[in-house]
Amino acid sequence: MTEAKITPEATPSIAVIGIGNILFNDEGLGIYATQFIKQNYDFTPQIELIDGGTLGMNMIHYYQSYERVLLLDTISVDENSPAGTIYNLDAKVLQGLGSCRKTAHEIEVLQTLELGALAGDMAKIQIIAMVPEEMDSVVMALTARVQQAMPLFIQTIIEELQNWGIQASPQEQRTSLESIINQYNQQHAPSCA
Amino acid sequence: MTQTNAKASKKQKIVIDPVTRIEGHLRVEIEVDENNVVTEAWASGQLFRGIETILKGRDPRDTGLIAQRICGVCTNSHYRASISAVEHAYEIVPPRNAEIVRNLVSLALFVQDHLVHYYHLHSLDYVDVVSALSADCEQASKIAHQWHKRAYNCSQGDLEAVKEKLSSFVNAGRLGLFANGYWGHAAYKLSPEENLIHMNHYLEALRIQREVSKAIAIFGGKTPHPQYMVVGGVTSVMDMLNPQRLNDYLFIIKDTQEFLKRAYLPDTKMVVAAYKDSIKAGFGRGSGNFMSSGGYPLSDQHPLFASGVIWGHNFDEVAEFDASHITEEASRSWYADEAPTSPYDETTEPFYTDLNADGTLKTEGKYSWIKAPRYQGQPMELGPAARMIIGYQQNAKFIKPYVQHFMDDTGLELIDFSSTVGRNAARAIEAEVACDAIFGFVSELIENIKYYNEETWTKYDFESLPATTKGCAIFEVPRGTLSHFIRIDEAKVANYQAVVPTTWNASPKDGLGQRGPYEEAIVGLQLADPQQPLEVLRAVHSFDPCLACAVHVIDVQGRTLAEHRVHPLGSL
Repeated sequence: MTEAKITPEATPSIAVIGIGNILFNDEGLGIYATQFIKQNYDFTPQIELIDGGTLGMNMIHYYQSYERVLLLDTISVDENSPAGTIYNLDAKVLQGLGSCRKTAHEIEVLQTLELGALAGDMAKIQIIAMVPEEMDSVVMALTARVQQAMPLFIQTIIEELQNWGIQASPQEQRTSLESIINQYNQQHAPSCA
Repeated sequence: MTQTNAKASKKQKIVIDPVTRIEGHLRVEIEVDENNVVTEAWASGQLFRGIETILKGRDPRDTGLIAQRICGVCTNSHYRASISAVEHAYEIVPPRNAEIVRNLVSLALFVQDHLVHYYHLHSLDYVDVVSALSADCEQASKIAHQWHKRAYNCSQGDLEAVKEKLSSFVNAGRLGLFANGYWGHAAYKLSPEENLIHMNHYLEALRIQREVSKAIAIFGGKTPHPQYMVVGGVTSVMDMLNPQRLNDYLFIIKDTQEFLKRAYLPDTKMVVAAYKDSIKAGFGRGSGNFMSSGGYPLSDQHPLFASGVIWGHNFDEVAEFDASHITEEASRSWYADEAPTSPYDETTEPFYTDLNADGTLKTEGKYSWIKAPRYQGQPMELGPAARMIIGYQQNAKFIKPYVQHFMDDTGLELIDFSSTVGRNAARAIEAEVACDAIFGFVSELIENIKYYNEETWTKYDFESLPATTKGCAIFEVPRGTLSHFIRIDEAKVANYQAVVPTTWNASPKDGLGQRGPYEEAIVGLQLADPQQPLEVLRAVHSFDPCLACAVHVIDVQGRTLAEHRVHPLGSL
């Protein structure tokens, strides 16, 4: 597995970043999706697949380190978009939506897009996002409706990357979404010995 | 009707929700009298809960990986606290090199958090962007150089470029990023030129904070959710021993240090000068109970931050800090178990009693998801102001000269840090302290490596460790004292609690009716306009609130996105 490199000389030009907190149910969908494509596909040329967690201000650093960034996240739209609805958006569509925030935990994707634009040198950013069902319970799992929509979510991601000229070939050994989520539940600290 | 009654009837209640954008995250309700003075306040908020549920039954060596996800902003702080609590429980002492590497990450985070809080989250409570657009750049450059003779990025040309950049951003209809609704309020005192200088540094700070992220990544690992710490030490051995990596780290810290000294500190002094009257009048002053657990021992064993407890602004007596005096209670919080309890034994059983029918807080009963941590039964203010005051009084060798220098330059006294603007001043001083201290830790690390002390992990045999034990980590992080408590049974986590700095500062009242620090800081404020309670927001923001990180959904309510919806093939 490759990890995101910080040094500029090792920086490839494309990154897929999953956003969200895996402790809060569907909020982790972007992270699980990132991990899923990491373990199930080979990409040519290579791309970076990053577990972004809840990056806050640090997102800007990623926007400035890559030429193109694909963000995978949750989205809240309107009453006509039930849980499981998927959107594929150019970040420009969301321009101007990020308003002033007062506390560190409120720096979210929309604000980082605005702040990044202000800071300059922005990557071209695309967002693939899904409407979550439940983000209040503390549990590392996805709800049934989100799980059902995950194959389409993954397919949308792969097709988008293919549109960018990336070749995505499925690996022989398939890892199920269920076992990806399980990996997060069972993660162990690295050994020092 | 008596006069008292007449007065009482003139009291009005104001709901400030959200103080932060997200509804329910942090709300403040205040009661003001006929002179617009706040007579009572209730702070209500959400904090992460449920960590104990998710950690129970796990291998104690793995808690750090999960606990770090409590908050996306404070990832490293929770990670370190969790690992340290387990080390404490097992009496494992990590090697000095591991401690230094952990400090290099933690202290860089102090600098980054303070910078981001001031410029990107809080400065617009003082800075009017629209006013900056009418600044005279030549004049602004002169003013900037009065505050620092090598003012950061403040030539007339620099400032003209910033003004142009801001104008184009605002003209493109993207003012939303800066909008805070209170511009033009009588409490905005900076001149157009001063506003422009601040906005210039707001932009520069965006770049600096990004560089600090890179510095942190050198030791902390490349992903946002690091794995460099393990029970017993750190795993980033190769990074640590690689002179090129150390050099990269130092290069960024040096650049950051320049920004702090030539931008952040001068800007803070500018605001202190503009608001000196309100500082001296004690606007936003709390009850004066301050607490710091100290820590970050330097090479000569002296802690960078002194530990101690101060009661009621009595600075001459600094009591010893003893973590066993920490309890949490929930008389006024939405939990069932109300009595003051040691965090080792605490449970977190929600008991929600709802709001009033009109959506206001039930201010006579339970009104917050935040518990009430107390020290010897008293509410305590934590954070940079507490650390700078206690460090000064304890003669902490790094802190005292910095605080003294700032006071000499600005005419502030120690008591003045106990105020809305004073807290921000203490935060700026602390950023400088933390940044300068980093160089000492790096030298020590280089010395150790030079003499072949390359140890970064203390070996232990997990099987032979006690199966039943408990431990805690209590240490200073940017917003105050963070503590994690772990109880281990049959070599698995039996109970876990995290008491975070914002819980202390944003705490509701307790069984005795004692206000939490936010509430105490707000009571007594006189508002220029109760419908625009900017003074309250400034007071709350001066604590640098960090609340529930639960909402990270991209919220685009109100924008039509139907054409971007993805449909499965054949279902169109």
